[in-house]
Amino acid sequence: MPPLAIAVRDLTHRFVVRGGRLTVLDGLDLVVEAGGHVALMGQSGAGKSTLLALLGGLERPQEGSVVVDGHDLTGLSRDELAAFRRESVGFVFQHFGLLETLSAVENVELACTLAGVPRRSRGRRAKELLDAVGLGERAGHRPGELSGGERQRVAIARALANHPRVVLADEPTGNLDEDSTTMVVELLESLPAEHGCTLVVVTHNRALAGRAKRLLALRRGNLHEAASV
Amino acid sequence: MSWRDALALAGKGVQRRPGRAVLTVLAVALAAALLTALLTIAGTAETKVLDELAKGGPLAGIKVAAAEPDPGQIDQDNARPGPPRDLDDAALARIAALPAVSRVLPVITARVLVTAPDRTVEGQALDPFLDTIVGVDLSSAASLPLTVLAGRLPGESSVTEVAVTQGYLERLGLERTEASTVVGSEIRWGAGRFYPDGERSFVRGRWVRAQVVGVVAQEAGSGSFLVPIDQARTARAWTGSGPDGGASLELASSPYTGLFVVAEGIDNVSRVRAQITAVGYSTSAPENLIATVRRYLHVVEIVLSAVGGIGLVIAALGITNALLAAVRERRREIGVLKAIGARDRDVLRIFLVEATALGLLGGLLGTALGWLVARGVSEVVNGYLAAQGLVGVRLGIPVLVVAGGIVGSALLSLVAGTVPALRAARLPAREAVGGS
Amino acid sequence: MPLVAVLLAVLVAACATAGDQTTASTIPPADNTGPPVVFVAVGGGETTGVRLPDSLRQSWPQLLFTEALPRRAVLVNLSSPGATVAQALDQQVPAALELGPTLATVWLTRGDVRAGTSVAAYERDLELVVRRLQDSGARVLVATGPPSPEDAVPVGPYGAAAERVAQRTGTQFVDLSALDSELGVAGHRQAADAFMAALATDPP
Repeated sequence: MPPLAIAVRDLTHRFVVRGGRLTVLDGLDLVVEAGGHVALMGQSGAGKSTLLALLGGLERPQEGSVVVDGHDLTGLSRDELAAFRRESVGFVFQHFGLLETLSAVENVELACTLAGVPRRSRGRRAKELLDAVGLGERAGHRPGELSGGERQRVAIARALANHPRVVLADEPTGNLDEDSTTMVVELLESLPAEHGCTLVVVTHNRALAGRAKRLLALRRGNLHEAASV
Repeated sequence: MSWRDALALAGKGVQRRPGRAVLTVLAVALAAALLTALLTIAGTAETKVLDELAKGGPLAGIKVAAAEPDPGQIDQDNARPGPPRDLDDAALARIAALPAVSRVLPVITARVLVTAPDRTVEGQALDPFLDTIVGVDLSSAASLPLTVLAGRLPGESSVTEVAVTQGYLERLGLERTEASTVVGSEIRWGAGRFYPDGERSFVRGRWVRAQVVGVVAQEAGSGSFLVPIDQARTARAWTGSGPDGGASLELASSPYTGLFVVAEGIDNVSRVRAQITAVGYSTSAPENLIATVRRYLHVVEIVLSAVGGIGLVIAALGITNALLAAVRERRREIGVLKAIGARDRDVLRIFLVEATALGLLGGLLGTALGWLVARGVSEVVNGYLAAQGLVGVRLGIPVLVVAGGIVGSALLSLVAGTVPALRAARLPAREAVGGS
Repeated sequence: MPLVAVLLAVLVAACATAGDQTTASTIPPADNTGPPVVFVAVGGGETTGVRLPDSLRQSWPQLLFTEALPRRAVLVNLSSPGATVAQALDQQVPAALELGPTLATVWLTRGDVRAGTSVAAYERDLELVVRRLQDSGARVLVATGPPSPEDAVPVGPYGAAAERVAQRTGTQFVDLSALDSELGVAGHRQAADAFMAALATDPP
């Protein structure tokens, strides 16, 4: 049995809302093998993004345990969480999350900088990553000069800058047209095989979800196996 | 993330809102300019005064007169009535040997009858008049309480040059602004000597001619004419050479009318005065005035600093405001930075660097601008001084003010940026993703 | 704006107390070179300018002093009204010699005319006056003038005696006998011009 990339046990997460607390995740369990490809679906507000934030160490778990790439995130400090994100995780956002004032290559270089890539080799590494997503020619362009699909490919290149063990994508095609979606979907799908990472995708897109090896649905605070490929 | 990386990222961050960045920098620049200009001007004024004091110029001078005050010395502020004591070479040597005395400059005056051959007042030739020539060592003019209003001082050994005072202008009915019109004219004066001639007696004048080379304000002695000391000495000797020793012409027995004692700096003036009083002469000095002027300058400087400081605080609040707005706008971007691994202190560093860079830039611009403004003001002031017949000021580059302006702006901006930077640093990484 | 006024006041105070010299020197430095020039005038009322409203400006010695001599010159007018040659020899000449004169004028006629001094005594004493002044190194000019309006005695013989003294002593003779006897402002002007003309020529 391959090692586990993600092991979540009895994860409960609540938000303070007006008039009380809202339980978003309620005793959730999730196990994903290394190199796995999981799609998370669910209605808006079901807690998909929260789960993703918890898996990526953007938020500290309140109850239960989250172990990702061997790191138990439950007791980590803010700095330790940052180190975990820097070393183990790559994020792809619906809104791309690119810095508008930086060019494509500079956005990727920034991630290299945070990942501790030496100054001399940052440029080369960033260029390689952009080449890998087919945007070597557009390296000098700023996000505003790129199409949505191109921006998302830059974001994917950036997510790979630190050789992540886990890539977490939050609605990666939510803002894309059909052609771009296809390209991004194919790119994401290739990640586990080409980069040896585990991929967790939150999406409403059935085509994208359909490419996953496992399809999970988040309902009433817990995950339900929707289908397996 | 290194400081260099933070600086690069801060620079890119500024580009997001170039207009806001420019306005923020301008606010700092204006405040720094105000502070620099004010402090440069105040500093120049004070430096000039303090230089004079430090080098023992006229402001550190003490006027010494015989112990018995005469009506001409009514302004002696520690007049000690007592038997008259002559100020002779022995007294001069004794005073010169006192500790903390930089130099002793004798003043000799002589009563003369003056004619101004080519001068008229309201169409009438100016009547000959009795006045006093004041002889001083003009090679030490810088140490004496002299201010040239027009022209120049007489040559230190000249026998044909004289500078006149405002008293002479008043006699001619001239305003101070017309001072230059007397420069170049000639006056004649005769020192009197008593001659017995059988039953009768006469006063014979020893007449000399002198060209007026300048108009001065002088406090070395009471008299309308400032001359090299040898001229006054010769005139006095002539009067004193009569068979009566000059007594008929009321020649004072003291060889020197007064001494001008320059102390080694303003701080020694009181001490030197006390010593001279102990020797037996009365003194006067403008030390109280100087202390007042220094205090006044200090107050002015404090006020100006406060004005500039308020400007800088306002500019700092502007920086805080601009950065808070930036933090609000860039919540998601900050979240993304954290998502891709930035620690709290990396984000803190980026915003602090941005604030400091804005402040530094504003400080640089503002200090340069402030210095230009100070120069402009000094041009105006110099124009005014020139019109008043006074010496202009030379504006130095006050290194401390310039360095303080730049470093201060940067530091203040750093402080101003702290709150927004802390707020940014504490933003949750969760901001990167949507949802609650 | 009061601030500007304060700044101006501070700067003016700083400058006014500084006591520097102005930069522009409008008058070039005086030429003090050359030997001293000491002019003594020996004489009577004609030299004092007793009839002048403003003798300090209008008397011929002052005119000569101002117009013909360099500025570094010194003038001492030792004349006394009514002085005779004998009195001058006794009082004025010693005073003149004290001064180390470089130029001396001698104009003594009326005192002796009025005192009735004999021409011989006048001539003898005048020569002594001139010679003593000459011996001190001074250039001497001897003058004679018109009679006083009150005097009945003709001055001609005294003038002739003065001229003989000038010839014997090798000094210049300045004949002013043709001047108006009142010797007012115009007379002094003419006398000064005559002395200047004599000064301009080389001594015999």
